[in-house]
Amino acid sequence: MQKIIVAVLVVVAAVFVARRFCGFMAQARGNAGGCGGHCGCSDKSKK
Amino acid sequence: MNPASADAQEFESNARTEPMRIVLAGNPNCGKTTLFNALTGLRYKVANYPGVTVEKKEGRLLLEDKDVLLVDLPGIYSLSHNSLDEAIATQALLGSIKGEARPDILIAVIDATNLERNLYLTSQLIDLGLPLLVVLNMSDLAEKQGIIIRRELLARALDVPVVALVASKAQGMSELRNELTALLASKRQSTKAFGWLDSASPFRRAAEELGIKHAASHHGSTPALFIGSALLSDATSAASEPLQSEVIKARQELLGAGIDCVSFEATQRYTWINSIVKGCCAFEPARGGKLTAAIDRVITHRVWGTLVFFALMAFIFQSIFMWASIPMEFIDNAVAAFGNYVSSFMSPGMLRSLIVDGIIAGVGSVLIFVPQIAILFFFLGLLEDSGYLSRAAFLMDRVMRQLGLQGRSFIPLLSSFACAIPGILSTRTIPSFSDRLATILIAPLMSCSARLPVYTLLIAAFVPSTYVFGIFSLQGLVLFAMYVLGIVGAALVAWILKFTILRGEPAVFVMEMPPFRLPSLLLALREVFDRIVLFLKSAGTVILACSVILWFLASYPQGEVKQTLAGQIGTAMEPIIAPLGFNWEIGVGLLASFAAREVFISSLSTVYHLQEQDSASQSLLDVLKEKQIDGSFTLSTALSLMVFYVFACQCMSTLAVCRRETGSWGWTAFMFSYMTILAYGASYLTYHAANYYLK
Repeated sequence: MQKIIVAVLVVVAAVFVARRFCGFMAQARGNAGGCGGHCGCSDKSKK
Repeated sequence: MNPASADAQEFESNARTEPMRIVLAGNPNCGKTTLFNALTGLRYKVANYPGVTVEKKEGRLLLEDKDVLLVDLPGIYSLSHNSLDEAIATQALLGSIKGEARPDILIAVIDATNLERNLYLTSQLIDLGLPLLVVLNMSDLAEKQGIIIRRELLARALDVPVVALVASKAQGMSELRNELTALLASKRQSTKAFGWLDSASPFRRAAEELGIKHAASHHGSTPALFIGSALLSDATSAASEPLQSEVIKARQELLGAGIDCVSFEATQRYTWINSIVKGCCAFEPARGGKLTAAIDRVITHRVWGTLVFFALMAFIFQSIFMWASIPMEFIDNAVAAFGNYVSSFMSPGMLRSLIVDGIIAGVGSVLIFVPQIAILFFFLGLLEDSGYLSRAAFLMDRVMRQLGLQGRSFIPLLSSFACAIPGILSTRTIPSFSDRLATILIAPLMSCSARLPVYTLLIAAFVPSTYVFGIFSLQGLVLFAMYVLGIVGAALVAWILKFTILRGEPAVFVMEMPPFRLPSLLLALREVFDRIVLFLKSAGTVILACSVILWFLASYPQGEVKQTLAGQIGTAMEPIIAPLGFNWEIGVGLLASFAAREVFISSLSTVYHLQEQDSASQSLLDVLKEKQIDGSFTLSTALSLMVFYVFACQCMSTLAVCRRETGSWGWTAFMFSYMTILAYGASYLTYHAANYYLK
């Protein structure tokens, strides 16, 4: 059981980090507006 | 059907499907975003200096059950533009952004303390032929300065509704809402459009002719007279032939009739504006102006001003160490107690290890820096609101010019102390491309708030808590030195760039000095709150996720931590980083911190906790202190590591925004490469110099 919980948590974390990386790429290509909310300016609007 | 009219039809049909658009326009630093926040309930960044808003922002507003889109624009002085942020605002007002509807209503936000200059843009907005409402913001400050504006007379002179309010205190908002609702229903336009231009003027005739010819290529319904007048005033705005030749011919004919088109419009508008201001304004002797002038004389003085600037900065960094120690200790103890508590009721195994050594050790080690982040942003909030930062920019213009930059670069660089991303975005206010690019390339050298936890952890663990000259904390001074090092590095890089690959004369720096005001404690505390929430969010998302992955990499295959996946990655990096005094554990942290710099701390904490299985109750700080005693992590390594963090570009988001703003992967790669080489070189020198002198 412990193994399953740990495996699920690790996979979820890996997906989260991968999605963050995709977010950076979207930002670089100009598909995410503002700073993407990174700096706290609350601008998460799409360009 | 010609393509232009097809585009126009498509544009109009888009407009019908969208909600009503109310657009806020005004000069920089007149309080547009403050008003936008007050109307929409959003919390976009505001500060008492020009150039904070560099992008178009949208929010929803309910006016008597009608859903309305409110748009906030970057500040502009007129509808001609030099920089990218001004272009965004002008295009939005003219309705020339394809696929975006023309505004239904304009709100001209006016700084009531500077009516005459603000009315220039307002007069242009009236000429656009859209329903317009004038807001006299900061009317309390105007009153304090002895400026009495009879707004019913102003409303009559401009033929538009005028509302006086104080957006920062949300005073006058209900009247504004009522006026907006009435204007939305009536859509009444001012009859004073082109009131500055005599109906028999040859300029008017020539402008109308040109405007009619050019109107077909314009989206929306900008009046022909406005288009023609803009063409005559600025021949370069006619991009293509044969229009450009026609404009030049018309200008020559008007010059023959004694009208110099370059200055005619501005002169006529100001003549009209002066007559309005004379008719509706009265001036009482100013109160409090002398004190502002006296303060300005000191803080913009070449010597005293520089001293005040450095004294302020030194005070802030001292405070970060002195005031944060008690709450940090409290959080540290709470995290350790929580770790012990969880350990006590869970049976040993991989799940307990993940929770205690991975999550609690990783995330907990970052959480203790909340008080320091709070103190930094509290002071930055106070400085931003006081009006001091514009003075500092003025003071730095001389230094900036010597580096080949301009004072305008100072605000983006200063914003980068919080985070490089808004800093890079705010370079949009810089009209010169080479100046803008140079500023973007050096902005990440300013130590952002994500580096603060790394500095303070290493300083607290390795720098003795003693005092220099009895008053300056050595730890505070070392922290200040790290920030200064980033500034010096940025200055050197800017100088090299501007005298090599980004040559160009720095433009003349003109910046409006905002009035000094007592900073709002509420605003500063709100900034602190927002930053803490953001930091906690980061701890609960990216840092948590990275801690889980790091735990996995540092736990498998089972055995010695050095034999695990993380250990193998770190060991592979060791030959490259060993000359800097870094071991494999630091190597893993450096790699992980690309996700977010704070992850360095959580990864170090996770790796050390997995190595010392009985250290659940020990904080990372204590572990590092022990490492110093046994010589496996020395002061030289700590200094070298801090210097590495000062210069290295370990932030994916910064790289992404650099790519977006420069439009080039080449410049992004250049930024990453030069910063990494600089970090490596400076770190190598620091490590060996420290080893030599500290032995």
